[in-house]
Amino acid sequence: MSKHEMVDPVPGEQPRLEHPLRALTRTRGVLGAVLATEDGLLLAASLDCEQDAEALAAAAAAMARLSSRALIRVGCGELQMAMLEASKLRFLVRGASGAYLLVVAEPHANVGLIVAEMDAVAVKLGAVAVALLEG
Amino acid sequence: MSKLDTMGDHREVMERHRGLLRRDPDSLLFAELADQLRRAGKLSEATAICSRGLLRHPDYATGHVVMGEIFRDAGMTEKAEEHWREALRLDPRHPRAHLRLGELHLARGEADQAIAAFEAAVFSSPEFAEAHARLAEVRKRAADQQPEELEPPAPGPAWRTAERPGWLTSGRFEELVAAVASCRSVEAAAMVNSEGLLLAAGTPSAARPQESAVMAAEGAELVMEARDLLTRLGAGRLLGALVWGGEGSLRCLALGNLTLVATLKPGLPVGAAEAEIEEALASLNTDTSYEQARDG
Repeated sequence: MSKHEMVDPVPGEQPRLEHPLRALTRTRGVLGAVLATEDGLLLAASLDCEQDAEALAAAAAAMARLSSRALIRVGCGELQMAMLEASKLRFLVRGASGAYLLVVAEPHANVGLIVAEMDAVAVKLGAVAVALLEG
Repeated sequence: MSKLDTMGDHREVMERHRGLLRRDPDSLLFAELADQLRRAGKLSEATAICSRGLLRHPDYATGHVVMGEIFRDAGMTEKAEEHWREALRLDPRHPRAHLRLGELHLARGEADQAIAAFEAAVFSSPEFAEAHARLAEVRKRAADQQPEELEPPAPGPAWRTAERPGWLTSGRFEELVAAVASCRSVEAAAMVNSEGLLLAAGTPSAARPQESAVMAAEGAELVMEARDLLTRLGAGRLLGALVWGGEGSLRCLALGNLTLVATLKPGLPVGAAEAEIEEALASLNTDTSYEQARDG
Protein backbone atom coordinates (compact mmCIF):
# COMPACT_ATOMS: atom_id res chain seq x y z
CA MET A 1 0.00 0.00 0.00
CA SER A 2 1.34 3.40 -0.90
CA LYS A 3 2.03 6.10 1.63
CA HIS A 4 -1.05 7.46 3.35
CA GLU A 5 -3.31 5.48 1.08
CA MET A 6 -6.67 4.84 2.65
CA VAL A 7 -8.56 1.62 2.23
CA ASP A 8 -12.35 1.72 2.04
CA PRO A 9 -13.77 -1.46 3.45
CA VAL A 10 -16.87 0.37 4.64
CA PRO A 11 -18.08 2.04 1.45
CA GLY A 12 -19.18 5.59 1.96
CA GLU A 13 -17.85 5.90 5.48
CA GLN A 14 -14.19 6.34 4.56
CA PRO A 15 -13.95 10.11 5.12
CA ARG A 16 -15.37 9.91 8.61
CA LEU A 17 -12.99 7.14 9.64
CA GLU A 18 -10.12 8.55 7.64
CA HIS A 19 -9.55 11.87 9.34
CA PRO A 20 -8.82 10.61 12.87
CA LEU A 21 -6.40 7.98 11.55
CA ARG A 22 -4.62 10.50 9.35
CA ALA A 23 -4.20 12.79 12.34
CA LEU A 24 -2.69 9.92 14.29
CA THR A 25 -0.25 9.12 11.49
CA ARG A 26 1.03 12.68 11.61
CA THR A 27 2.27 12.13 15.17
CA ARG A 28 6.07 12.01 15.31
CA GLY A 29 7.32 8.41 15.18
CA VAL A 30 4.01 6.95 14.02
CA LEU A 31 4.24 5.00 10.77
CA GLY A 32 0.66 3.94 10.46
CA ALA A 33 -2.70 3.42 12.10
CA VAL A 34 -5.32 0.78 11.50
CA LEU A 35 -8.87 0.32 12.69
CA ALA A 36 -10.05 -3.28 12.85
CA THR A 37 -13.11 -5.16 13.99
CA GLU A 38 -12.86 -7.46 16.99
CA ASP A 39 -12.61 -10.33 14.49
CA GLY A 40 -9.55 -8.75 12.88
CA LEU A 41 -11.25 -7.45 9.74
CA LEU A 42 -9.99 -4.17 8.33
CA LEU A 43 -12.22 -1.11 8.74
CA ALA A 44 -9.78 1.64 7.75
CA ALA A 45 -6.07 2.31 7.60
CA SER A 46 -3.60 5.12 7.09
CA LEU A 47 -0.12 3.77 6.51
CA ASP A 48 3.24 5.39 5.98
CA CYS A 49 5.11 2.08 5.89
CA GLU A 50 5.24 -1.08 3.84
CA GLN A 51 3.12 -3.13 6.22
CA ASP A 52 0.02 -4.80 4.83
CA ALA A 53 -3.14 -3.20 6.21
CA GLU A 54 -5.14 -6.41 6.41
CA ALA A 55 -2.30 -8.22 8.17
CA LEU A 56 -2.13 -5.38 10.67
CA ALA A 57 -5.86 -5.55 11.26
CA ALA A 58 -5.58 -9.25 12.02
CA ALA A 59 -2.58 -8.53 14.26
CA ALA A 60 -4.55 -5.88 16.16
CA ALA A 61 -7.23 -8.38 17.10
CA ALA A 62 -4.67 -11.06 17.95
CA MET A 63 -2.68 -8.67 20.15
CA ALA A 64 -5.78 -7.52 21.96
CA ARG A 65 -7.03 -11.07 22.44
CA LEU A 66 -3.81 -12.47 23.89
CA SER A 67 -3.21 -9.37 26.04
CA SER A 68 -6.76 -9.46 27.43
CA ARG A 69 -6.45 -13.13 28.26
CA ALA A 70 -3.15 -12.61 30.10
CA LEU A 71 -4.50 -9.62 32.05
CA ILE A 72 -7.60 -11.44 33.20
CA ARG A 73 -5.66 -14.52 34.27
CA VAL A 74 -3.21 -12.50 36.36
CA GLY A 75 -6.01 -10.43 37.87
CA CYS A 76 -5.12 -7.08 36.30
CA GLY A 77 -8.58 -6.34 34.95
CA GLU A 78 -9.70 -5.44 31.47
CA LEU A 79 -7.42 -4.37 28.65
CA GLN A 80 -6.78 -0.66 28.29
CA MET A 81 -3.72 -0.66 26.04
CA ALA A 82 -1.09 -3.16 24.88
CA MET A 83 2.33 -2.53 23.41
CA LEU A 84 4.73 -4.94 21.73
CA GLU A 85 8.30 -3.72 21.37
CA ALA A 86 10.30 -5.22 18.51
CA SER A 87 13.74 -4.38 17.22
CA LYS A 88 12.35 -2.75 14.07
CA LEU A 89 8.91 -1.49 15.10
CA ARG A 90 6.56 -0.88 18.00
CA PHE A 91 2.89 -1.82 17.96
CA LEU A 92 0.26 -0.33 20.24
CA VAL A 93 -3.37 -1.41 20.35
CA ARG A 94 -6.44 -0.32 22.28
CA GLY A 95 -10.18 -0.63 22.07
CA ALA A 96 -12.14 2.08 20.24
CA SER A 97 -15.92 1.96 20.15
CA GLY A 98 -16.21 -1.78 19.72
CA ALA A 99 -13.26 -1.93 17.35
CA TYR A 100 -9.47 -2.04 17.80
CA LEU A 101 -7.16 0.84 17.03
CA LEU A 102 -3.60 -0.22 16.23
CA VAL A 103 -0.61 2.05 15.74
CA VAL A 104 2.69 1.05 14.11
CA ALA A 105 5.55 3.20 15.38
CA GLU A 106 9.29 3.52 15.11
CA PRO A 107 11.22 1.61 17.79
CA HIS A 108 12.34 4.80 19.54
CA ALA A 109 9.06 6.66 19.24
CA ASN A 110 7.65 8.64 22.17
CA VAL A 111 5.19 6.14 23.64
CA GLY A 112 3.59 8.63 26.02
CA LEU A 113 2.76 10.98 23.18
CA ILE A 114 1.37 8.19 21.02
CA VAL A 115 -0.80 6.84 23.83
CA ALA A 116 -2.23 10.32 24.40
CA GLU A 117 -2.96 10.71 20.68
CA MET A 118 -4.56 7.26 20.55
CA ASP A 119 -6.82 8.22 23.46
CA ALA A 120 -7.88 11.37 21.61
CA VAL A 121 -8.49 9.49 18.35
CA ALA A 122 -10.52 6.82 20.17
CA VAL A 123 -12.83 9.58 21.42
CA LYS A 124 -13.19 10.96 17.89
CA LEU A 125 -13.91 7.49 16.51
CA GLY A 126 -16.53 7.07 19.21
CA ALA A 127 -18.23 10.22 17.97
CA VAL A 128 -18.09 8.87 14.39
CA ALA A 129 -19.65 5.60 15.55
CA VAL A 130 -22.49 7.48 17.25
CA ALA A 131 -23.05 9.55 14.11
CA LEU A 132 -23.17 6.40 11.98
CA LEU A 133 -25.67 4.77 14.31
CA GLU A 134 -27.85 7.86 14.20
CA GLY A 135 -27.76 7.64 10.41
CA MET B 1 33.37 -36.16 14.95
CA SER B 2 30.49 -35.73 17.37
CA LYS B 3 29.78 -32.52 19.28
CA LEU B 4 30.74 -34.24 22.52
CA ASP B 5 34.10 -35.27 21.02
CA THR B 6 34.70 -31.68 19.95
CA MET B 7 33.84 -30.40 23.40
CA GLY B 8 36.25 -32.93 24.85
CA ASP B 9 39.00 -31.70 22.54
CA HIS B 10 38.32 -28.10 23.54
CA ARG B 11 38.51 -29.01 27.21
CA GLU B 12 41.83 -30.77 26.60
CA VAL B 13 43.23 -27.75 24.80
CA MET B 14 42.05 -25.42 27.56
CA GLU B 15 43.59 -27.64 30.22
CA ARG B 16 46.86 -27.71 28.28
CA HIS B 17 46.83 -23.94 28.03
CA ARG B 18 45.99 -23.60 31.71
CA GLY B 19 49.00 -25.79 32.54
CA LEU B 20 51.32 -23.81 30.28
CA LEU B 21 50.12 -20.55 31.80
CA ARG B 22 50.63 -21.85 35.34
CA ARG B 23 54.21 -22.78 34.45
CA ASP B 24 54.82 -19.47 32.71
CA PRO B 25 52.51 -16.74 34.06
CA ASP B 26 54.23 -14.21 31.79
CA SER B 27 53.14 -16.11 28.68
CA LEU B 28 50.99 -14.32 26.09
CA LEU B 29 48.92 -17.49 25.99
CA PHE B 30 46.46 -15.86 28.40
CA ALA B 31 44.63 -14.26 25.49
CA GLU B 32 44.15 -17.57 23.71
CA LEU B 33 42.95 -19.28 26.88
CA ALA B 34 40.59 -16.41 27.73
CA ASP B 35 39.18 -16.55 24.20
CA GLN B 36 38.52 -20.28 24.50
CA LEU B 37 36.84 -19.77 27.87
CA ARG B 38 34.70 -16.99 26.39
CA ARG B 39 33.61 -19.22 23.53
CA ALA B 40 32.73 -21.90 26.10
CA GLY B 41 30.53 -19.35 27.90
CA LYS B 42 32.77 -19.18 30.97
CA LEU B 43 32.82 -15.41 31.07
CA SER B 44 33.86 -14.95 34.70
CA GLU B 45 36.93 -17.16 34.34
CA ALA B 46 37.72 -15.63 30.95
CA THR B 47 37.54 -12.15 32.50
CA ALA B 48 39.83 -13.13 35.36
CA ILE B 49 42.45 -14.74 33.08
CA CYS B 50 42.40 -11.92 30.54
CA SER B 51 42.49 -9.07 33.03
CA ARG B 52 45.40 -10.70 34.90
CA GLY B 53 47.23 -11.12 31.59
CA LEU B 54 46.62 -7.48 30.66
CA LEU B 55 48.04 -6.36 33.97
CA ARG B 56 51.30 -8.08 32.94
CA HIS B 57 51.04 -7.11 29.27
CA PRO B 58 49.06 -3.87 28.99
CA ASP B 59 50.47 -3.25 25.50
CA TYR B 60 49.36 -6.58 24.04
CA ALA B 61 46.76 -5.60 21.44
CA THR B 62 45.28 -9.08 21.00
CA GLY B 63 44.69 -9.26 24.75
CA HIS B 64 42.59 -6.10 24.50
CA VAL B 65 40.65 -7.52 21.55
CA VAL B 66 39.77 -10.63 23.56
CA MET B 67 38.88 -8.51 26.60
CA GLY B 68 36.54 -6.49 24.40
CA GLU B 69 34.89 -9.66 23.11
CA ILE B 70 34.33 -10.83 26.69
CA PHE B 71 32.68 -7.53 27.58
CA ARG B 72 30.59 -7.67 24.40
CA ASP B 73 29.34 -11.15 25.31
CA ALA B 74 28.52 -9.81 28.78
CA GLY B 75 26.39 -7.10 27.18
CA MET B 76 28.80 -4.29 28.13
CA THR B 77 29.41 -2.82 24.71
CA GLU B 78 30.88 0.48 25.89
CA LYS B 79 33.69 -1.30 27.73
CA ALA B 80 34.11 -3.62 24.75
CA GLU B 81 34.58 -0.62 22.49
CA GLU B 82 37.15 0.89 24.85
CA HIS B 83 39.30 -2.25 24.62
CA TRP B 84 38.99 -2.56 20.85
CA ARG B 85 39.99 1.07 20.44
CA GLU B 86 42.93 0.53 22.78
CA ALA B 87 43.95 -2.46 20.66
CA LEU B 88 43.96 -0.24 17.56
CA ARG B 89 45.93 2.45 19.36
CA LEU B 90 48.58 -0.19 20.11
CA ASP B 91 48.35 -1.87 16.71
CA PRO B 92 46.52 0.26 14.12
CA ARG B 93 46.41 -2.66 11.70
CA HIS B 94 44.97 -5.27 14.04
CA PRO B 95 42.38 -6.94 11.74
CA ARG B 96 40.21 -8.48 14.46
CA ALA B 97 39.92 -5.16 16.31
CA HIS B 98 38.76 -3.49 13.07
CA LEU B 99 36.28 -6.32 12.50
CA ARG B 100 34.77 -6.06 15.97
CA LEU B 101 34.44 -2.29 15.75
CA GLY B 102 32.79 -2.73 12.36
CA GLU B 103 30.26 -5.13 13.86
CA LEU B 104 29.60 -2.64 16.64
CA HIS B 105 28.97 0.15 14.11
CA LEU B 106 26.67 -2.15 12.17
CA ALA B 107 24.69 -2.97 15.30
CA ARG B 108 24.28 0.76 15.87
CA GLY B 109 23.02 1.27 12.33
CA GLU B 110 26.19 3.17 11.31
CA ALA B 111 26.62 1.49 7.95
CA ASP B 112 29.28 3.85 6.55
CA GLN B 113 31.53 3.46 9.58
CA ALA B 114 30.95 -0.29 9.53
CA ILE B 115 32.09 -0.45 5.90
CA ALA B 116 35.20 1.60 6.71
CA ALA B 117 36.09 -0.70 9.60
CA PHE B 118 35.55 -3.89 7.57
CA GLU B 119 37.65 -2.40 4.74
CA ALA B 120 40.43 -1.69 7.23
CA ALA B 121 40.23 -5.28 8.47
CA VAL B 122 40.49 -6.62 4.91
CA PHE B 123 43.32 -4.22 4.08
CA SER B 124 45.23 -5.32 7.18
CA SER B 125 44.67 -8.99 6.50
CA PRO B 126 43.72 -9.75 2.87
CA GLU B 127 42.98 -13.40 3.71
CA PHE B 128 40.64 -12.60 6.60
CA ALA B 129 37.54 -14.47 5.35
CA GLU B 130 35.16 -13.27 8.08
CA ALA B 131 35.99 -9.63 7.34
CA HIS B 132 35.51 -10.19 3.60
CA ALA B 133 32.12 -11.77 4.26
CA ARG B 134 30.94 -8.95 6.53
CA LEU B 135 32.17 -6.31 4.08
CA ALA B 136 30.42 -7.97 1.15
CA GLU B 137 27.22 -8.26 3.17
CA VAL B 138 27.11 -4.67 4.32
CA ARG B 139 28.13 -3.32 0.88
CA LYS B 140 25.38 -5.29 -0.79
CA ARG B 141 22.79 -3.90 1.60
CA ALA B 142 24.07 -0.38 1.09
CA ALA B 143 24.07 -0.82 -2.69
CA ASP B 144 20.51 -2.10 -2.60
CA GLN B 145 19.64 1.12 -0.79
CA GLN B 146 17.67 -0.77 1.80
CA PRO B 147 19.08 0.63 4.99
CA GLU B 148 15.87 -0.29 6.79
CA GLU B 149 16.86 -3.91 6.39
CA LEU B 150 19.93 -3.37 8.52
CA GLU B 151 18.99 -4.38 12.02
CA PRO B 152 18.61 -1.12 13.90
CA PRO B 153 20.12 -0.75 17.34
CA ALA B 154 17.91 -2.06 20.08
CA PRO B 155 16.69 0.74 22.32
CA GLY B 156 18.38 1.09 25.66
CA PRO B 157 20.94 -0.99 27.46
CA ALA B 158 21.93 -4.63 27.16
CA TRP B 159 18.79 -6.14 28.70
CA ARG B 160 16.73 -4.41 26.00
CA THR B 161 18.35 -6.33 23.15
CA ALA B 162 16.24 -9.49 23.52
CA GLU B 163 19.46 -11.37 24.24
CA ARG B 164 20.21 -13.01 27.53
CA PRO B 165 22.94 -10.86 29.13
CA GLY B 166 26.17 -12.68 29.84
CA TRP B 167 25.92 -11.88 33.55
CA LEU B 168 22.50 -13.50 33.85
CA THR B 169 23.62 -16.94 34.93
CA SER B 170 21.22 -19.38 36.60
CA GLY B 171 22.74 -18.50 39.97
CA ARG B 172 21.48 -14.93 39.58
CA PHE B 173 17.83 -15.56 38.69
CA GLU B 174 16.67 -15.20 42.31
CA GLU B 175 18.76 -12.05 42.75
CA LEU B 176 17.32 -10.45 39.62
CA VAL B 177 13.74 -11.32 40.46
CA ALA B 178 14.16 -10.08 44.03
CA ALA B 179 15.60 -6.79 42.75
CA VAL B 180 12.65 -6.25 40.41
CA ALA B 181 10.06 -7.39 42.96
CA SER B 182 11.44 -4.89 45.47
CA CYS B 183 10.56 -1.96 43.19
CA ARG B 184 7.78 0.21 44.64
CA SER B 185 5.70 0.00 41.46
CA VAL B 186 6.00 -3.76 41.13
CA GLU B 187 3.50 -6.11 42.72
CA ALA B 188 5.25 -9.36 41.82
CA ALA B 189 8.03 -10.57 39.54
CA ALA B 190 9.10 -13.90 38.13
CA MET B 191 11.58 -15.46 35.74
CA VAL B 192 10.32 -18.16 33.44
CA ASN B 193 11.83 -20.32 30.70
CA SER B 194 10.48 -20.79 27.18
CA GLU B 195 8.38 -23.74 28.32
CA GLY B 196 6.54 -21.63 30.87
CA LEU B 197 8.30 -23.22 33.82
CA LEU B 198 8.98 -20.97 36.78
CA LEU B 199 12.68 -20.39 37.50
CA ALA B 200 12.40 -17.78 40.25
CA ALA B 201 9.61 -15.78 41.85
CA GLY B 202 9.42 -12.77 44.07
CA THR B 203 6.34 -11.24 45.70
CA PRO B 204 5.95 -8.89 48.66
CA SER B 205 4.25 -11.74 50.56
CA ALA B 206 5.94 -15.04 49.87
CA ALA B 207 2.63 -16.84 50.42
CA ARG B 208 1.53 -16.51 46.81
CA PRO B 209 3.59 -19.08 44.88
CA GLN B 210 0.60 -20.24 42.85
CA GLU B 211 -0.08 -16.70 41.63
CA SER B 212 3.55 -16.33 40.66
CA ALA B 213 3.45 -19.53 38.65
CA VAL B 214 0.30 -18.39 36.83
CA MET B 215 1.79 -14.95 36.18
CA ALA B 216 5.02 -16.47 34.87
CA ALA B 217 3.23 -18.93 32.63
CA GLU B 218 0.96 -16.20 31.23
CA GLY B 219 3.97 -13.98 30.59
CA ALA B 220 5.77 -16.77 28.76
CA GLU B 221 2.68 -17.50 26.68
CA LEU B 222 2.27 -13.83 25.81
CA VAL B 223 5.89 -13.56 24.74
CA MET B 224 5.76 -16.74 22.67
CA GLU B 225 2.63 -15.68 20.80
CA ALA B 226 3.91 -12.14 20.38
CA ARG B 227 7.10 -13.50 18.80
CA ASP B 228 5.03 -15.42 16.25
CA LEU B 229 2.99 -12.33 15.52
CA LEU B 230 6.04 -10.12 15.02
CA THR B 231 7.69 -12.70 12.79
CA ARG B 232 4.62 -12.71 10.54
CA LEU B 233 4.73 -8.91 10.41
CA GLY B 234 8.48 -8.80 9.72
CA ALA B 235 8.98 -6.50 12.69
CA GLY B 236 12.22 -8.03 13.99
CA ARG B 237 13.01 -9.51 17.37
CA LEU B 238 10.63 -9.14 20.28
CA LEU B 239 12.14 -7.02 23.03
CA GLY B 240 9.22 -6.89 25.39
CA ALA B 241 5.53 -6.41 25.98
CA LEU B 242 3.64 -3.99 28.18
CA VAL B 243 -0.07 -4.48 28.78
CA TRP B 244 -2.12 -1.91 30.69
CA GLY B 245 -5.13 -3.26 32.57
CA GLY B 246 -7.83 -1.61 34.64
CA GLU B 247 -6.45 -3.11 37.84
CA GLY B 248 -2.75 -3.29 37.12
CA SER B 249 -0.32 -3.86 34.28
CA LEU B 250 1.77 -6.74 33.02
CA ARG B 251 5.36 -6.22 31.91
CA CYS B 252 7.37 -8.87 30.05
CA LEU B 253 11.00 -8.55 28.98
CA ALA B 254 12.49 -11.06 26.54
CA LEU B 255 15.97 -12.16 27.63
CA GLY B 256 16.96 -14.81 25.12
CA ASN B 257 15.14 -18.02 26.02
CA LEU B 258 14.05 -16.50 29.33
CA THR B 259 11.27 -14.05 30.13
CA LEU B 260 11.15 -11.66 33.03
CA VAL B 261 7.52 -11.08 33.98
CA ALA B 262 6.26 -8.46 36.41
CA THR B 263 2.84 -7.25 37.44
CA LEU B 264 2.70 -3.52 38.11
CA LYS B 265 0.51 -1.92 40.73
CA PRO B 266 -2.56 -0.01 39.53
CA GLY B 267 -2.75 3.73 39.80
CA LEU B 268 0.98 4.35 39.44
CA PRO B 269 2.59 5.84 36.34
CA VAL B 270 3.85 3.08 34.06
CA GLY B 271 6.89 5.18 33.22
CA ALA B 272 7.93 5.18 36.86
CA ALA B 273 7.72 1.40 36.95
CA GLU B 274 9.80 1.18 33.77
CA ALA B 275 12.49 3.38 35.27
CA GLU B 276 12.54 1.41 38.51
CA ILE B 277 12.84 -1.93 36.72
CA GLU B 278 15.64 -0.65 34.51
CA GLU B 279 17.50 0.67 37.55
CA ALA B 280 17.05 -2.66 39.32
CA LEU B 281 18.44 -4.52 36.33
CA ALA B 282 21.28 -2.05 35.90
CA SER B 283 22.31 -2.55 39.51
CA LEU B 284 22.96 -6.21 38.71
CA ASN B 285 24.74 -5.63 35.43
CA THR B 286 28.22 -5.44 36.89
CA ASP B 287 31.08 -7.75 36.20
CA THR B 288 32.54 -7.89 39.68
CA SER B 289 34.94 -10.68 38.75
CA TYR B 290 36.66 -8.31 36.37
CA GLU B 291 36.90 -5.55 38.95
CA GLN B 292 38.19 -8.00 41.57
CA ALA B 293 40.76 -9.46 39.22
CA ARG B 294 41.90 -6.03 38.06
CA ASP B 295 42.30 -4.82 41.62
CA GLY B 296 44.27 -7.91 42.51
